Amino acid sequence: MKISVKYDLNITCKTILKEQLDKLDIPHLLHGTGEIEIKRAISDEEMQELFNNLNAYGIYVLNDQKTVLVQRIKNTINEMLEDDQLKSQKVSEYLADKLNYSYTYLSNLFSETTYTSIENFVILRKVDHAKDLMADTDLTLTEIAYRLNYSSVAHLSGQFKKITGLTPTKFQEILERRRGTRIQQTI
Amino acid sequence: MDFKIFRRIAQSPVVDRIALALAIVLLLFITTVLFKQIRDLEVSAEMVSHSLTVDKEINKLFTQYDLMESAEFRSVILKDSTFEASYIDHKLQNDRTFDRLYGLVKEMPYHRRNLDTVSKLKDSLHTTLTALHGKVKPMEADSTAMVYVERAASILKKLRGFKRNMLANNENFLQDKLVTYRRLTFLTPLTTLFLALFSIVMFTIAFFRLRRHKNKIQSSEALLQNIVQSTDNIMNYYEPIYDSNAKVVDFRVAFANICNRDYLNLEPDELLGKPITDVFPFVLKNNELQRMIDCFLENKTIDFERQVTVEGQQFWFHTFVRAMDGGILEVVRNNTEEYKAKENLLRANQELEVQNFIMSEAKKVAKIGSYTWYLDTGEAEISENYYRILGCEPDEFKPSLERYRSFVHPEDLKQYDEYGEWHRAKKEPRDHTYRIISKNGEVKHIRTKGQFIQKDGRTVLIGVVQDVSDQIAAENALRIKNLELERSNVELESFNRVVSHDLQEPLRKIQMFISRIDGEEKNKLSERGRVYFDRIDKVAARMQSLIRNLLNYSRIDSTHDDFEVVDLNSVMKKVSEENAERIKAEEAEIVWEDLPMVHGVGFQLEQLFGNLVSNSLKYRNPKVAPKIRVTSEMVANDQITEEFLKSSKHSFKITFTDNGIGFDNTNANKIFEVFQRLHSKTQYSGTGIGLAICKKIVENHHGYIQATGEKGKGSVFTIYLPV
Amino acid sequence: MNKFPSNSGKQILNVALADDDEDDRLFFQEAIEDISIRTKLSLLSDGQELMDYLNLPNIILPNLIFLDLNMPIKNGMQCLKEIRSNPKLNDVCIAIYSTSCSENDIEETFVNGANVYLNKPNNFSKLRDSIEKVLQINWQYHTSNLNRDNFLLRL
Repeated sequence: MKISVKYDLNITCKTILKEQLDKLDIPHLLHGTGEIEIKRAISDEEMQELFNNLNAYGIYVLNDQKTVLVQRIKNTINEMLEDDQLKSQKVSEYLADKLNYSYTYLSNLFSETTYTSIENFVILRKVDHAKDLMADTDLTLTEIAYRLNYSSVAHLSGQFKKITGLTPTKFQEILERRRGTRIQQTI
Repeated sequence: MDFKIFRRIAQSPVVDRIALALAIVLLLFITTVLFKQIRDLEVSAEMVSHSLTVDKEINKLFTQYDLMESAEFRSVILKDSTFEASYIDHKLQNDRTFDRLYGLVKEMPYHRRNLDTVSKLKDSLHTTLTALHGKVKPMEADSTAMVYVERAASILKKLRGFKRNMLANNENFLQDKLVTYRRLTFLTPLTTLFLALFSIVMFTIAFFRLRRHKNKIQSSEALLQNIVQSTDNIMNYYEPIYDSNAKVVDFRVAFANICNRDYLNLEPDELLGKPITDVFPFVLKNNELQRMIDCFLENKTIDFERQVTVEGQQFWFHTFVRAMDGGILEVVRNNTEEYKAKENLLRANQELEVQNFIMSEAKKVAKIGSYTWYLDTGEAEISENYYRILGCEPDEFKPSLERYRSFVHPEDLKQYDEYGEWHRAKKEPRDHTYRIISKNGEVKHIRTKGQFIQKDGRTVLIGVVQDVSDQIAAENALRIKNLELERSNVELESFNRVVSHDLQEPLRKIQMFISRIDGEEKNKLSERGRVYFDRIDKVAARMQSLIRNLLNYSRIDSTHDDFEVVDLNSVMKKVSEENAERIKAEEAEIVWEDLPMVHGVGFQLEQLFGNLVSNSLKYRNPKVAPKIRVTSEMVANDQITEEFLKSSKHSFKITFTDNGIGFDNTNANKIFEVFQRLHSKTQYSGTGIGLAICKKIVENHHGYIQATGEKGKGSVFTIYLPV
Repeated sequence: MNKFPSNSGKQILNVALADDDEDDRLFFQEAIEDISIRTKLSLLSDGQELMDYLNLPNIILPNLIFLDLNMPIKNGMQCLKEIRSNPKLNDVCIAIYSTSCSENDIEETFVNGANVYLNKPNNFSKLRDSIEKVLQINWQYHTSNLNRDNFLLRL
């Protein structure tokens, strides 16, 4: 038998981080998904042990400042997209404001590290969100477009097609058929 | 029983008449009797009055005698001659009275006799008295005078005796007459009253009876009238019309009932008194008038059929004519319905004959025979055509299972027997096809289907057989053709694969190499080399697009295994999503309203509408924003003028309208042909296969596509898809 | 992988290509080398070779496999199904790399677990751009917490 599961990686990661940090008695504060504020000085041995333990879960500690910043940009964008109030704000302004860097700097840094512009990443992220909604909810395209702050279904469809090369309808069809074949295989 | 007879007699008008006559006779008798009685009464009254007069006269007469005597005496005694005058006066009076009395009693012999005697006495009295008178003159009382007085007194005495007798007699007579009179005055009114009463009773009875009788006659007459008027037959009475030679030449309508109006549209009242040749001109046909005249003259009844056209409608009438009371009665019955029914029956019979004939011919043409097989006795009957199918003349042999088995192809015999057993066991109808060898050695395929029925308590197998040899030959031919077709389809498919992969691959690589050279390497070429190189690039690109489109075209397979219900609304939705970017760039507008669900292949229909949309966008009018409108309606196939194979009763008519550059309608059919282009390659890119693909897809869906255009205004693509 | 995070900041993307056509492999190699993303390319000449490669012990699994559909011995579709039914290869992204542009092929491969469908272009720069886009997006899926279940890309 097979069962389909869906998991929230954020929660998974946070839970793991919390467990591991608690195990080593390290007082901490989790900022979003990608940042941990350690509340006391820890020894190299403790640090090494934490790293090792986390590596087992595929979680790596980034010690490169640029990588950390890129991760923070991503995290901020995610927050923005998930917060209804922030949705309508301009990404560039919000990022500059939040991270306290000039947008040009952030933008260059981001492109250099991820091969993608921040704008592209925002779109990618939004489309990914749209995909999630299409896959997991019964929302109509109109509702999804509204929720993701698109001006129209056509706008969403256009952007979706641009990013994935597929129309939303085709995408949904494929996902449905995938599930169908999976269930068939399971049986 | 007897009472009844009496009653009948009592009720019969003859009795009434006799009673009436009797009453009259009685009345006459009564009148006579009465008359006589009155006369008797009159006579009797007269007699009484006569008697009384006689009585009075008698008294008067005898009184006068006394007076005369006394007057004489006085003159004697008194010697007064004056008295003598009085005596003469009395004597004259007495004579008159006597004469009168004598006249009165002329008829009464008794009185006459008496009077005769009285007359003698009177004369003697006169004599006496006159004698006395002479004596008296000397006025002396002598004895002679005394003798005279004595004599006169005795005469008077005698006269008085007569008077008494006569009065007594007259009294008796009077009494007698009075009795008669009284009798008569009593009897006469009584008899009269009685008889009058009797006759009044008789009259009354007779009157009432006669009146009742008359009423009866009147009501039966009314009944008759009612019958005549309410019958649905025409009933007319005609009186003959004579010519100067007293020959009957025509009839005059004396009576016509209301049915004349119903059937002939003639007012009965207006017919009265008119010659029938005027009002019923049809009697002049078919010698009818003459026959009616003959009927009248020979006093007989005839009947005949008559056909009349009234206001364009044909009627058939059955007519009875009967001589009656110096005229003829014509009774006409409308039997149009019967006649028509009869005619219909006749026609139906004829049609049935024709159909039977057609049926038997059809059996021949369709090579169908039939059989009836009685299972209990094994007897069988087979139709004429069955004999022919077996290559025999009709009734050439007596059919039986054994005999029939000899016709069955030996290779199929086992199967035939098995089928027969199965059939008899299951008693269910089932098709069976087997071969027979006909009398002239021809092998025929026979299909049979039989059914068991109960006929007159016997189990009977009835069924039909058909010579399906031609059909089977055709089926075989078809199967072979199908196999060939399948093979060629397979070949076509592999050809497609060759084109799609094997041919496209090298071309793609050529293009790849071209693109590798393009750039650094290209600059190393001479000017001419670079020109050639560019040409190569373009030709390769064109070839690639040709191959790709050809592939698309040929990939539209015509198998219908994957037909499903497709919502054209979602097709349009997908198409506009697919082209979202271009639609936005061209600022185009695509609208569709309430499109139907059709049977088809989803992606083909997407391609169809996708091609139409991109066609419209490609050939857009540069001056206005493209607008595409898709509408649909359901239409009955008989309203579609376009010729194509229609597989259903109704079709969806889908209209695809744009406001592009349009085209000249003379090219309407060209645009659907493969590689046909209405524009030069440089003006519009493309291979001219898009609309050809559309056409193929529509045809694959058993539909029809056509285009109409108007240069500069736009194009309309009309697609018919089966419902 | 590295037990310690690399200090260089950028990871190397492991890419494999299975294609029986030598020219295509050449084009691909030249194109991928032209891209700024750091990659390590393994070339395989048919499906069987690919599967054997993936089943090597201690192999560093590729992040992304480009798979031609039309190959001798074992075609792309078979490989796709095998890979997708192997839990060990769950994290591998698969890009179909084929000349076929039939809708049927595209849909079938997606349904069977392909993430990317890339038509072999007829122009080198187009090829390079396409590969670059695939790598970029794939990179995002690897590094940015995107839901890989929904990773579908048609180029």
